[in-house]
This record gives sequence, structure tokens and C-alpha cells, in this order.
Amino acid sequence: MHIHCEPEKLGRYAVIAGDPGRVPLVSQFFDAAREVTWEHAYRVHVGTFGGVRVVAASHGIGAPSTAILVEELASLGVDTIIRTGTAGPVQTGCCRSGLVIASGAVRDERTSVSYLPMEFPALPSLLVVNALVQSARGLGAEYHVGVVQSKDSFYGEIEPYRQPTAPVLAQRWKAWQMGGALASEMECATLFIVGATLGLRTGGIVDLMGDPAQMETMILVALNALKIVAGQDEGASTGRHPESGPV
Amino acid sequence: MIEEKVQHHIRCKKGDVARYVLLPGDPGRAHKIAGFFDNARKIAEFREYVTYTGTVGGVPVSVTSTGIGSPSAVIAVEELAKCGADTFIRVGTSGGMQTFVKPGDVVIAQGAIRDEGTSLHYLPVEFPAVASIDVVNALVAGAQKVGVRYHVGVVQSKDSFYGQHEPERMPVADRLKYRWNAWIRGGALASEMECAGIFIAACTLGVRAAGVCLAAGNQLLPELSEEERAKITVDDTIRVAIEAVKALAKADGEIR
Repeated sequence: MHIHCEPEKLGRYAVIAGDPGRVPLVSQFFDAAREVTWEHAYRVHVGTFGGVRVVAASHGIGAPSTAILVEELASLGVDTIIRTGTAGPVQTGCCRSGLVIASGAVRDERTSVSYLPMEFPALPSLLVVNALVQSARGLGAEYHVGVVQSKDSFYGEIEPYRQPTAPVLAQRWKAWQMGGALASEMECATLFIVGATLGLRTGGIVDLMGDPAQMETMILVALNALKIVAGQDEGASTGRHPESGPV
Repeated sequence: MIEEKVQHHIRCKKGDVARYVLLPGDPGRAHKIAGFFDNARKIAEFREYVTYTGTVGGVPVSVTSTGIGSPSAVIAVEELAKCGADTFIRVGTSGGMQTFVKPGDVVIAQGAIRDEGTSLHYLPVEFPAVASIDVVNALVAGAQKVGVRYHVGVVQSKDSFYGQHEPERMPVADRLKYRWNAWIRGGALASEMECAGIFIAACTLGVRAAGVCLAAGNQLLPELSEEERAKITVDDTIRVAIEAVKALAKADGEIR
């Protein structure tokens, strides 16, 4: 509907990012990279990474456009999606630099409420979180694991005093801090909730205002994590729930 | 944050409890779990809060029953944290919400649906009730060691037991049913009553928490015969939690 891919074989594994300009930064690591489409904010590259067929796609800024991309990638056969994003730090005394691997997301947006009531936790898949941690360790990246805040309003975060809702924004920001949130970004909650309703495996990793080198490290962490997951998929002989134990 | 005084409800003080605490709902199960410890000694018994401290594989560990529901569960977590505990594992029972969650399976809670009111006194509802990944991974390792069939994912933490079991009796029946179906379609594995409160309180206290629940039944599946029901016990669920404590103690450098 929006990403205008023919129902071709995209494979199962995708790395997504907000900025269409980041798609070639991901696909530079592919063998045989090819642009499939670029309309609206949706730019899609395909190729292989370490022998695994991978998609790189952009979702634009915010929850509404992200939900569309996730839905349409799923309809084309993708079942494992890692978001690589940029974010701002939330804590004042720690976790001000490096990468944050999301263990969950604050649903400070309203797109996901069209999918599941607000009480449902926005969670990534454990196996994707563990693959991201393993991958980050392997690459020697500075990383933290924790909750990220997914907001609808960028300027509500960085210029809250300007908004008529300033007291509410300030109070809620303080609550996210006291709850231990580590990073503020705009799309993980949507990816996790839409993914939960579609039966996808999802994960998120964000860069706390890093430099271009750190951005490249984050992309490699995500791609290596997909390779780890693909290796586990190959080892799994049955179609049972991937996070279930032995019968 | 750690206090010297005897806590108001759990009647324990600093030094009485280990850093690792198992949290069943039922006081009867606290006695049962203490039976799995070495050198278990009863610390306190007041209201629904029964506390024992002992060791497992040389690791100091405690158990405190929380009673039913998030209101009493978060009181236990708050006061245990003030006594020095920093790692909590809820050990409970639940009802399966997916057909692949069979009675007797173990469900490891990575997160919980905040279908309760207590956690709203801590954090806005948008905040995810998420478990500590380290504790979740320790529980997975524990389940693999015990050799039990397990699942990892989301549980529903509700305030009303009879709202789940007899929704048609409630004036808000339609809402209860539509939300129940939404949780299932979101992939929720099992329904229980304390994880969300415990996880959210833990986030604000800066302590670790996760949950492991026996799927005691499943209303989507045919009812079990008396004989089948008799075979389902919480023993393996307790063993999973104990193995997780040992794994965490090793990772934390408490034992070699």
C-alpha cells in the first residue's frame, strides 16, 4: 500500500530506522545491495549480510508512519525487526553516552492504542534482546540495557516549557526518570506493540546522541544480532514457539 | 534506603532477609518453599506475610508470602527492599491464555499487563511493567536445568479473580471480555495477579524482579480430570526459581 514492494521475497530479517538517509548506511554492509523502493519516508534496500538475506528500511519520524511500515513488512514475510535509532539520555547521573538496548518502551504515544489497551507492556522479544547484547559485547560497544521512552512530540521533550501542557510534560518526564528509563526516542513502543499483535520478533537499539562512528557501530550490532537470530532459527528444527523450552 | 527498624507489615529488619527473595502469594506456599531450603528458619509471620531465610547451594535466600493481589505484594517488596533485598522472583500460579500453554507448563514473565490499580500509584500506565532481563535469563536457565516445559513472555496481572473467571456476572462484562481477548491477541501467555505491581515497584526502587508461574489450568482447553489435576504440582516451578537464584548468585559473584 505504502512501501510499494512487489510481493517479492524480502526474507525474514529487517533493520529499520527513521531516516531514509540511514538506509544506505545499513546496506553499505550488505553483499549485492539493491534499492527496492523509495516513496514518502519509506526507502527499502535488500541484500545479504553474512549470508543472511536482510532488509534495510526507513519508517519516517513517529509512531503512525512506523506502524504502517511494520504492518507492510510483515505482510511481505518479514518476521524479525530491529529498530536502530537516535535518542536522548533520560538519566542525569549515568547512561549519558553509548548505546541503549531496549528492554521495554514507555507507550508515550497513541498509535499503539489502536492495537492494544495501554496496560499491555511494550516489550521486545527476549531472544532479540539477548542477541543484541551478545552482538554489542562482541563488538566491544558501550551499551546499557533498559527502558526507553517512545514519545509523539519531539519538541514536547526538548522545549517542554513552550507547551501549554508544560506542567504535565515535566511531571511525566520526572516519572520516566524515576522509573529508570534510559533513553528518549519515538518509535520503539509502536514497533513492539504492533509486532506483538502480528506475532513478530522485535528489538530496538538506540544511540545516545553519538558520533558517526557510534552510529556505524550500532548498525553493525543490529546486523550481527540478526545473524545470531538467523543462526538460531536454522538450528531450530520445529515450528514451535521460539521462546518455549523442551517438551 | 535500607532501614534498621522492624518493618511495619512484614515484621522483618535489616539482616533478617537475603538479597534474593522468592515471593509466593500463598502463606502456605512460603512454608512449602522453605522446605526446599537448607537451614531454613522462620523469621516472621504476621497477616499474610510469612518469611523464612535459609540457603540453597550455599546461597542465602529468603521467601516471603505476599497475599493475593498487587496492593499487598508491593508492601512486601517495599519493606523487603528496606531490609536490604535487591532481587525478587515471584513464584506463583496462573491460568494459561494460549492453547500451547498446557497445565503443568511453567511461564516466565518478561513483562506484565498492568490490569490493576496499584502500579498507577508509582508510574503512569504507559510505563511498561518489565522484568529484569538478567533475572529472566536466570529463570530460563533454571527451567532448562530442571527440564520443565516453559514459555517466556507477557502475563496479565489483574485485580479481580472473579472478573476473569465469571465475567458474565459483572456489570462491566463486555469490557472484561473484549479486553481478555485483546490480551490473548497480543500474545499474553497466562493470567495472574501480582507481577505488574511487583515489576513496577521494583523499577522505582532500583531493584531487580521477574516472575515464574505454574500454569495450573487453562480455560481454553478441556477441563482436566481429577487424576490429571492431581499430577500438577508447583514443585518444579519452585525448583526453577531456586536454580535461578543459584545462577544469579554466581553471576553476582556471591559464590564461585
